[in-house]
Amino acid sequence: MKESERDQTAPISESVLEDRVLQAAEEAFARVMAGVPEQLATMPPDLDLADAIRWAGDRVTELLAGLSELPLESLLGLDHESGATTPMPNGEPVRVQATAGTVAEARVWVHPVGDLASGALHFLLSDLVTASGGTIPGSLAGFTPEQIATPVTAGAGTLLRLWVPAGAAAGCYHGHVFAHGVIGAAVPIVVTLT
Amino acid sequence: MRTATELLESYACLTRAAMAETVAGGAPGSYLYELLRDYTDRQGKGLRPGLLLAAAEACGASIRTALPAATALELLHTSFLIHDDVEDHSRLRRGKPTLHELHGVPLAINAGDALANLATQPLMSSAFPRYRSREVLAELRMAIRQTTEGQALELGWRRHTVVDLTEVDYLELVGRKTCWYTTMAPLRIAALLGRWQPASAALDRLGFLAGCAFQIRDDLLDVTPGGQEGKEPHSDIAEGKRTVMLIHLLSVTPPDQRQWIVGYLGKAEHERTQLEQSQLLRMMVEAGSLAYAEQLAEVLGQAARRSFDEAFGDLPASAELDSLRALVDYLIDRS
Repeated sequence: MKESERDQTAPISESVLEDRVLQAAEEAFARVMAGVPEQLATMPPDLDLADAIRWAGDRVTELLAGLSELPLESLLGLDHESGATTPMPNGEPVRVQATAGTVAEARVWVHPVGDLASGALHFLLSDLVTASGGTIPGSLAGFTPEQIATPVTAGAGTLLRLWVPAGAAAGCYHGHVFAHGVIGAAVPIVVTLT
Repeated sequence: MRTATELLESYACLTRAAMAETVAGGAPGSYLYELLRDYTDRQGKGLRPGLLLAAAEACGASIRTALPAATALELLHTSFLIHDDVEDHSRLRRGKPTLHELHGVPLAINAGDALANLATQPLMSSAFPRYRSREVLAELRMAIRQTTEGQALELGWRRHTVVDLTEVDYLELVGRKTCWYTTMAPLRIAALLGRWQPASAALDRLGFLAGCAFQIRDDLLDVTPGGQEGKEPHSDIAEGKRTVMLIHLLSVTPPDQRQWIVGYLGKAEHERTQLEQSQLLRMMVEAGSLAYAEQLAEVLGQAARRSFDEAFGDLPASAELDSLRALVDYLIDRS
């Protein structure tokens, strides 16, 4: 029945309205999806034998490229982007170059010393300040992952992503990355804003 | 955890930089590339690339891998906007005059064409996995097909004063014109790039339902004072767009008022006066059409949230998944 044929002025209950809306949505969804194949990049059905062989050859080449690409990316550490990496075993600060209005990234590592109890390490960034009092709030940072389960048997890394506000003044911003949990660690960080 | 707007802004920074790289340089500058840079520099919310990147991260893909696809989608969106503004005779886009207002219709159409072509360029980036480029390209082509089909429906309805429409017709239109490239394609592409696969049928349904809720709220914002930043107020009413409020009004209004509305919609856009536009808005308010649209968006939004749980239920819990959920909630509840 069309909307125009229905008595729309009569009050309808919320559940009736919900059922009607969901039914309409299902019908519309089916119309939109009609004719959309589950896999869009499958071999077109009307290829002659020669083109079908070419298509299959191309696909095999792409998949082989993928098979070699993935381990290569992992091997080189390219599968996780990072603006900087920091071994920092000697208390060296994490150094990050950044531009206002962009996202700065750095990989931060925590190295276990001695035995650790089981638990989790949560990462946090302090506010970053310059000598002249300029501040970038630590709340503008995110970590991936935000926490790491311990004990860790080797250096545990997390990707720090800091959104630098568009209006932030150029300068050297100092602060700390904190790892809270079964151990406490504070890794100094210097963000140079140009 | 960062808010959805902070998340969007951080993703938008990355996408803007990648878009700037794609449209950098080139000749003729003053007739083409400067026009492209003007539109790509304008700061939109970056919903589409933001959703793609957030979903990719939730599925275990890196930003580096997903960024070319997100950039391609945003460039495609920008090319649609340029043509859309010409088709709708819009005068403002993201707070500035539209490209055809600044440079004339022929140069604007040409710029839109160029941008649609440049949109595929990021997929040639060495960061982008070659074994996925065929699938992602197929997704972009499907997004173009659905969007242009949806746009054709809307323009055709307006050209021929089609008024006998139902909610299903409206939701189909929105599914094609808005949902596919705003919410469905970003989620589908993210799933292709990730290590973990969400349930595909639920993912499509999530994209559709969230996109519909998003569009209905967009329709409502158009009639809310100060609702649409950077756009002319009541532009949908002025253009005679078949919003869900208009379709509801046509179905409940008495025959004499309906005749007046059909007469209004049958006029050319420049013949519709401010007074008539205000009259139509008043009729929508009095008929409860705005309240009805709110209810519709609410029901669809709740259904989208259920689909989210279904789609991503088997993925490992992570901060990235929480961020994606926050972003989907933001899309659904936009205000």
